[in-house]
Amino acid sequence: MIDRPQRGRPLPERPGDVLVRELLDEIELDERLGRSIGVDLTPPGPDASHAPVVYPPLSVWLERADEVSALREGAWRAERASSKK
Amino acid sequence: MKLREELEILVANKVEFVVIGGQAGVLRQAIEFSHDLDIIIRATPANAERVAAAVEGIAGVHPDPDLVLGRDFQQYIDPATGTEIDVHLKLIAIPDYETALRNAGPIDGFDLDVAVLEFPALYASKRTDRPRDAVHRRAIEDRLRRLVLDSRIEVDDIVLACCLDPEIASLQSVSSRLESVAASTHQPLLQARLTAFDLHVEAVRANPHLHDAVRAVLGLDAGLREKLVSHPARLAALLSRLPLQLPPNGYHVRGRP
Repeated sequence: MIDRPQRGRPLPERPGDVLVRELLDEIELDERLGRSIGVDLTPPGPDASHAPVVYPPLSVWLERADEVSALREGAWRAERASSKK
Repeated sequence: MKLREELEILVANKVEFVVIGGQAGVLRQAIEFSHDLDIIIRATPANAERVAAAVEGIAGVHPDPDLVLGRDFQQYIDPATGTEIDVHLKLIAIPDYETALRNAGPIDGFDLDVAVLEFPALYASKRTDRPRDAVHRRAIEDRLRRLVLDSRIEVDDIVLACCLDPEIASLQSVSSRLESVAASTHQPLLQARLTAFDLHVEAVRANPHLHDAVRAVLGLDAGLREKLVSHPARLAALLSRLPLQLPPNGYHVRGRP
């Protein structure tokens, strides 16, 4: 077992007005910094057009996931082999 | 190891579990890949024994069953292959296995009988500070959106809370009842989406179940509100801070005939 596993932490709960102020402060900070360096620091936004236009059948979907998994396993094995040399 | 092989080992060992995390999103065709398998397990000594045996089959290590029941989250990685299984006793918005099971179901067209967390509970469980979870939330929104646009699922407050946008709102089946939904929904996420897309805002304002964060957004002047909700990334930041409320008896997305 990994002693210090990595996982996401819950986002902090805030009263509504505090949360909104906090989010606006982040935006204002980005705007201020952006102005000072002449770069728009607005984070890239997710867009519905980024989603797959067509979702293939489940079998194809899982096959693709397995392909990535196999590539990852190959990289893992290669890294271990090279670290043993 | 392939996802299917890992699930077969869990099933063969008669583990009581629900697939959660990224692989639940893969099985539900929202997320394209996950590097590990996350499961939430029934917290009983007998099941812990079965989990230990299955973990050995998957990751090549045999955990102490007492340890399985002693930590909310454990991560096991096969040193030879990198295959990883994460075992949970609870997670965000899902306090135990029983809750997960009430919000899970089988996968249509998948011949292994395994319980997989459904989209809303999966979405709720991914409300974390981890960037990967934000990407997964977005993938779930996109998948649900596609299912709604293709008329493959029934649309209710919970589905709309996860994926309402102007295109969904313009569907005849949605637009005809959106004002009444705006006036009555308990879902903070849905109240926020309606506000962001300027849909029946007066009805949202009059909603007796208005969430305090949405009330605060509505209390801003137009310029500040625009800053907070008009850019997709800013809106996503706000939405990530609002809960998705799951019914106590669980929730299942209903397919349309």
